[in-house]
Amino acid sequence: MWRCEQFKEELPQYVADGEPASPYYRALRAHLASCPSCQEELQRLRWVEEALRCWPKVPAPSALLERVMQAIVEQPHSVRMQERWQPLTWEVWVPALAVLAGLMIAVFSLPPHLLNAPVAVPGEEASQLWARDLASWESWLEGHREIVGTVWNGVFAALAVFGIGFALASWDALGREWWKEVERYFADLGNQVRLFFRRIH
Amino acid sequence: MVSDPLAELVARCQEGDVAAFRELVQKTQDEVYNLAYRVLGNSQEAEDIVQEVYLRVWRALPGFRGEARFSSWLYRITLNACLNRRRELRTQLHVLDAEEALEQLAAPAHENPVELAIEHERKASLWRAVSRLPRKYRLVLTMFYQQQLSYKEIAEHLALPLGTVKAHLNRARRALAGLLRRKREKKSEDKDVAV
Repeated sequence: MWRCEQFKEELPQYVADGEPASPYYRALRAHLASCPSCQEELQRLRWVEEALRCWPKVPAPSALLERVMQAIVEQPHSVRMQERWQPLTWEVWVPALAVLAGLMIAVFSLPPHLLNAPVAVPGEEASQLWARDLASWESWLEGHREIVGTVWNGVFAALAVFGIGFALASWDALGREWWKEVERYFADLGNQVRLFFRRIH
Repeated sequence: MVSDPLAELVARCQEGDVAAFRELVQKTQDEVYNLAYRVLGNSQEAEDIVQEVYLRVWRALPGFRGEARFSSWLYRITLNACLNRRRELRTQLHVLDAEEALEQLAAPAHENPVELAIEHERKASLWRAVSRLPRKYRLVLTMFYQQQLSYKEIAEHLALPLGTVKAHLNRARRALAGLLRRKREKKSEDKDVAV
């Protein structure tokens, strides 16, 4: 009887597999040949299998498509764009901001002779104005060289330490995900640009 | 990347093409609705879930990288939404309305209409019985027989070991065979009493 129950456990899979003639089921087949109870169970499982194979799917109601599309369209355009836009995670924008700030500081820390105003061409008032502004800015910097230098060096050092520390600490943890995020960002950015131009035209 | 018959359509949707999304919904809604209906057992709930699923899909599409088939991704979203909804409901859901399913069943060619009707009724009673099985069994039966997913795919979607999926399916089949046996026994007892 115990053996019979063991075979009955195997029967559903045997039927579902299409009652294969494989050696795996040899003992089961031998048992079936001499056990009326298991034969009955086999018949029932065959019928269950057949009924399940033609179990009808319930199709979606005809009005459902319109309902779904209505919900999609009803979202305000700005919300839709906002939702579709994948905001950057802090793991990306924080170091990006640090790099940007570092670059700005590096540019403003260039020796003064590299920031000399271009020679003003007569008649080009805009560039003259710009040169004058630059000159006054330079003279202000000259006057406050020590304070400005201290503050900028401090900020630069803090950002550098933070950037390097952050990169070292999180590199292993972020690993590929970080790059995927960057890749995703540029892909999305490309998409947005393409969508923008498509709308314009 | 896996080859996906819906890839082109999905790419258009990712660009914000609403018409393409409509086509995508049209092509996939039956599968989504059927799964939701089988899990939730209620057509109104299933419709609400389908709408929620497609809204989620629309929002998440830009982030879909095609590392899995779109249908698998959609399936996972549907399943999660359904299971969350079930948890929210906390109450016993309505019993599946098998008559509705029966209406959808195309009548196969059969010589004897009486036999056909009896056979239909027997099968319909089995399908009704499925709706009374525990959810885990109903779910694997739906995924295997209706969505025609492989054991491996079901195991992935439900985060279960392959052996557990097979065991669930086999227990469900045996449970249905058991119901059939009891029904026949009851019928023969009734006959004996009548005699």
